[in-house]
Amino acid sequence: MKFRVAILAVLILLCAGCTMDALMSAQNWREYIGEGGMMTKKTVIVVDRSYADIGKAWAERSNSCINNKQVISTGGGARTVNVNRSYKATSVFSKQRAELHMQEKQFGAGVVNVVKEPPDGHFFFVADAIPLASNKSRVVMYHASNRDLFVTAITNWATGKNMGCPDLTQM
Amino acid sequence: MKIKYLLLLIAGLFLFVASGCSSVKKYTSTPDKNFSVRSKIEDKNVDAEVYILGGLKECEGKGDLPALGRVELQQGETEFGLAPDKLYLLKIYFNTKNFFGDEIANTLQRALIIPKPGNKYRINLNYAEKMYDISIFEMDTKSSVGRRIPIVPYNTCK
Repeated sequence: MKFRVAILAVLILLCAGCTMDALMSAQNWREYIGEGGMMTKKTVIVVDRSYADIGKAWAERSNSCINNKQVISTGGGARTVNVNRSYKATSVFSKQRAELHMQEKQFGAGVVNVVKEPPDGHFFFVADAIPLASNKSRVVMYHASNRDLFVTAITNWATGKNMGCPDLTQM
Repeated sequence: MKIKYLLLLIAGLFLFVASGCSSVKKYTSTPDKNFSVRSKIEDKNVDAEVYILGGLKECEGKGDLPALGRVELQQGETEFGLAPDKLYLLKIYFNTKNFFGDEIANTLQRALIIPKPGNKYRINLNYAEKMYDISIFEMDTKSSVGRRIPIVPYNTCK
């Protein structure tokens, strides 16, 4: 009996921990990483390109490669819980910088959303291109630490080195 | 007698399994093969597939277009034909497979296209280091001028 009560108490504590709100905006996500958020990274590079050109490349590529994309898990056997994902990218331009925000939403049987999150899913990547000179920009990427593939893609799009899309199934 | 039927059933099941259990028909090309696909995939756990839908005179809203079949991709280059001045939806998949060869996930790119009479089209499918690139080139056979055309996703068909 005591064992059951202990398990129940642990479950309640875990659920209480799970009911916190997710980060509801790109700015929340930046702040969370700035404060040393768990399993996150901030990657900074300098690119010899104007922030406007970087912003245009991000908008075009993210629209083609990320927006409205879904990853459907198709197999793995009866023991596997299929977690499907959909993606949304938003480009923002201003006189101070170009931004790219990316969100991921999980759906499908076996997915329980215990955390309140924005309608298009949680933020997992925010990139800012900040002008340093007419043809030089600082690119700051705020991202989950397991999203190196996106760091590669966003860096490639910023430099113009490789305009290919990241394979979203590989994350 | 019963054994005979049993053997026939087993043979049928074997053929079904050997055919990959697939119910997707092979795309029947038009005689003029105005499209070619070149695939270069540098990952042994990934393969590509191209499905053809549509063949209609115009875009008819967001409903499903009729499926016309799967293009059997060969090593290197594969040619097939689409009727000019008709609307097609190409569904291009990169499939990821696990150690046992089972498909576990795929990434999909949809592209609407209306082939122009007399033009040739080349679709390049590249995959390397978890990055993919799909490009479609249109070549005017009269002027021999080619250009990369934008990929129009299906959701712009309204």
